[in-house]
Amino acid sequence: MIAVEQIRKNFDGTQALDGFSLQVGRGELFGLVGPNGAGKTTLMKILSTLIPADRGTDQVGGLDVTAQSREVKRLIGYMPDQPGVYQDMGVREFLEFFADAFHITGPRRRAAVDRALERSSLTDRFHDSVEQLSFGMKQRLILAKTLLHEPKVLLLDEPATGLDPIARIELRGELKQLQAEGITILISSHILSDLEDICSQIALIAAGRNASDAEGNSVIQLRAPQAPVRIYEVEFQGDARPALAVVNSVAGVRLLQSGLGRAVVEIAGGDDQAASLLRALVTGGVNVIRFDHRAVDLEERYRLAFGDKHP
Amino acid sequence: MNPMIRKELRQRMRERRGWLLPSLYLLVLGAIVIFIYFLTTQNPDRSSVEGASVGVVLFLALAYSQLALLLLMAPIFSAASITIEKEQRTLPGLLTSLLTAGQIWWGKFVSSLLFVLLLLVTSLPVLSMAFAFGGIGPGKSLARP
Repeated sequence: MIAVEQIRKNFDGTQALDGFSLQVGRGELFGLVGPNGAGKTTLMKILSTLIPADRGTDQVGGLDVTAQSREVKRLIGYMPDQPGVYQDMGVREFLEFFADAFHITGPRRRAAVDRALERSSLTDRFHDSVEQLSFGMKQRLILAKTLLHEPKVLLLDEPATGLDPIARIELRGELKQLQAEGITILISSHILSDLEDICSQIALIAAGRNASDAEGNSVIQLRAPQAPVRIYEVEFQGDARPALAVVNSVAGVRLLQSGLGRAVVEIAGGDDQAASLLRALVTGGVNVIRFDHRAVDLEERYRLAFGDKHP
Repeated sequence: MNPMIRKELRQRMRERRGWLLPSLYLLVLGAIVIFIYFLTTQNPDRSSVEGASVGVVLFLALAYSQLALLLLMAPIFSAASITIEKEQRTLPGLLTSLLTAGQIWWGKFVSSLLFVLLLLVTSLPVLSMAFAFGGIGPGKSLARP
């Protein structure tokens, strides 16, 4: 549904996107993760037709974003980071204006606005001015406005920023519901636990290019069947060199990270392979004090991928 | 009707400047009338001042003052309204809707012109003072600049 190939964008000498590629399937809830300045917002702006790419291919629903921008606008709903609202408008008036802007007329307009009010749980606030709404309510209103024309693709740039935990839970529920309705969603966020909860896949981006986690994945599968590779954390006393030498000598074991008295390894295979590594460490004279299998969560993967890349 | 025109007009009239600006405009025109009146009647030989000549001078002064004021104000209104969209971060919402950039600009431009027209209409009572002095009538005023 979204196909981006080798896309590039330069802003006055700053390379915001430098050959980034992305494929998002129909009905997927796809996350986009990267440090500040990685190019997430630029990508979102290009896909939402706000700015053209310098080079590369960008398609939404099989349509070329630059050449067929009007058709693409019918297909997408875009929620920018820090979206603005018309504070002096009424809630209903705000939605009616955007219904007009999307050429929704007649009975469809009324139905669309009523549905948007219901979706944003603002039915009883429709007389109020937008200014009177809380931040969370405004975010809900903007999401409802984004859905007025029933887009097939949602592009959400940091939609949860500034929301309180309850509002974030509600937003996650809303996004899951939208995905269940068949809407393809591309969401960028720094709140990794939220992405981990709702996304099926997450792409990593850094310096405008596809980035990889410590395991070499540029796209992290979160809903995939249990991978045959397991991550172990090993803690030991004394010099790290003998421990690292043992780790590097055992077949099927790959060192992901090492630090003072600590190593994170990837073990291909089951418990037998893990037992072999532990045995090799002990017989190799390493004082192992902890040998733990753990599921690497998204936050850890992010830290491993971008830990030293804070602009 | 272009939804931008409706939105802009509603917003403009809700703002404080929706009533403040016409009020200030009338005050400025009123000050011009008083200034011109005293200027034209500051003649040592007052008996030679005709009401008709005061009327003509008043009308011309008001007409040119309005032309200058409105020529200054009209572009400021439309330029400011685009800037406000950027400042309040609502421009991306407009640009990703089915409104074209031309429709957005046209909506802002027309609503600015309509507001200028409102200022012109509110100035009619002040302008009619020139008619009260004589020397100029509605028919003649159309023929004059």
